[in-house]
Amino acid sequence: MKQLNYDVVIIGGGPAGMAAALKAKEKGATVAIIERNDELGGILNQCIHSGFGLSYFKQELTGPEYAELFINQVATTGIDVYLKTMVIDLSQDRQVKAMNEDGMLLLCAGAIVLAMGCRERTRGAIKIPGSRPAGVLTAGLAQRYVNIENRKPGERVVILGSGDIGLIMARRLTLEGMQVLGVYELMPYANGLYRNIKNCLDDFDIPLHLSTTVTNIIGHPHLEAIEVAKVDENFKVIEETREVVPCDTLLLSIGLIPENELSQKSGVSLNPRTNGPLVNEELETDQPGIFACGNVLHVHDLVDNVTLEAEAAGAAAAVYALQQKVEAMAGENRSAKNKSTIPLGPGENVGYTVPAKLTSPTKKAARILFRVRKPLENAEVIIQSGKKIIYQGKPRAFKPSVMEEVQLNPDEINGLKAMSDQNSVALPIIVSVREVKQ
Amino acid sequence: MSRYKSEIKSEIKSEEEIKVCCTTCPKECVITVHLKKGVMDRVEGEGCKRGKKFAQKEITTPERTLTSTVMVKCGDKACLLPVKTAGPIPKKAMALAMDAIRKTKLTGSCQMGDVVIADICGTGVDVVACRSIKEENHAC
Repeated sequence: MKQLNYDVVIIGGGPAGMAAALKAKEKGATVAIIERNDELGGILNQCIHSGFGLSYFKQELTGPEYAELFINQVATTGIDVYLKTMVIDLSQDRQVKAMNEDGMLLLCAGAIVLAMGCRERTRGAIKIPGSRPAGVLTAGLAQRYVNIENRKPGERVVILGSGDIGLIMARRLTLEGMQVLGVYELMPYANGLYRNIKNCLDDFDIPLHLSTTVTNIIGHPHLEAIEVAKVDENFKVIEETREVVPCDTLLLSIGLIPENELSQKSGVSLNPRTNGPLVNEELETDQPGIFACGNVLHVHDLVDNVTLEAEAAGAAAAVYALQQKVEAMAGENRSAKNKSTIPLGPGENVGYTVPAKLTSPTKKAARILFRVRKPLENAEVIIQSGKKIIYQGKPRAFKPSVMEEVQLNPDEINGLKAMSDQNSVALPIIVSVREVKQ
Repeated sequence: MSRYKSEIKSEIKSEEEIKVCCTTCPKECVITVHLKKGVMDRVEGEGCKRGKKFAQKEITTPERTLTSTVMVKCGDKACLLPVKTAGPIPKKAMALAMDAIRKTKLTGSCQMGDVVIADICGTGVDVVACRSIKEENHAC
């Protein structure tokens, strides 16, 4: 087996992988990206709509343009890119086993960045009853068919789920001459960004049915109709509202799952709320030297945020790998140095936090990302340790579709009692969003 | 009737005040446009300069950036090239622009930013390539 050594090996060549690689390279590390597809760019290549790069590049770009700007940089910075290469194993000691047309590769890395992204939830995840006909597919697959493979999924389309990909596909299919009959959403609010509701549905008079779901799939061997029904506040079907909608295509836009099978092989622990690795503020998992960023860590709504997060992970991975080298030469052992940590987690109305723990003492501000569980008209972010409030935001509106960010300054973290070993106890930092009565 | 739909419908409050949700960036500012004799007098709630411009357009001739794909022949293979209007075009022109884009066929390689259709449907806006395609590109 061919053996190669790198300071940093990045698994996944999408927006997260490319940004992490560029930053690691900039810090002086030798870097390799492993990508299973035949080109870099990941899902950006099929996201032909615009709206990318508004915060990172300060201009509105399409997905392929955003990708090409990074692909061009990667091509000129001496990063080794392995395309059409599938990682099949990742060990705790950072050995990556991969396979491509030339055979097996073993890459030994000083640090790893997990940037594998996520995959779509399918019909099985929400157990829609009915027959199993052709014509039921995920929104992202339909996007690939239409935008890359030049195939038309059907004529009369219904979309289940108001996630951003579903909304964008409603517009795309309408523009390509298909009839989009409606978007059905189980929750009493839309899951996608408001700009997409407005530009993709309202502009084309496509109805959005809230608190409504698909209750049956009819037809064989091809989809002929679906049955929809309204649900009450406990998501129970209201029987008298059942209605049959004839259609030949059902697109599912019902959420994404971070792809962490490989992470788990290396012993990385996952956060059950995000299905992504549990990381500290450096985006390091509980396996030393293994970092995570982008949609494999938690699902983002804007690629600009993925890029920022990946740059932080790439920089931290390079620093880790280069420091390990220096310590190895000096005969020191970094793992002997105990890090103190403070657990960090969600409180009232908050779904999850990334990171899930903070290192103390620290010199850097910690970037805390989270999402609310339901829309809140007027609420404030409160971050506390026990009864002590360490951050309080201004009252405003919150939506689950928008990722929130709060910076905690070093002195706010350093003043708290940290866990110095496994037996000591530290009060967790809790992020809540509390409703404020006007 | 959806919540969002009803929000849109309630935008027109009176002759003097229109609420517009800006979609220029993900901040989604709600901008209140004050009209005087049917003409924009001043705006409120915009997070930046682009918001004011967007609100002005939205109450007169709403504009959107249109993206689609164009068939490209590379040797004996064909692939789809993602394209966009280099700037926003009037919403009304979208259907005609789609027809023109659908009829367009290209051959050979291209660079990101190359003009694919100049001045589409007389809007003064070009349709440009959103990625580079090389002859040997495997995406073809």
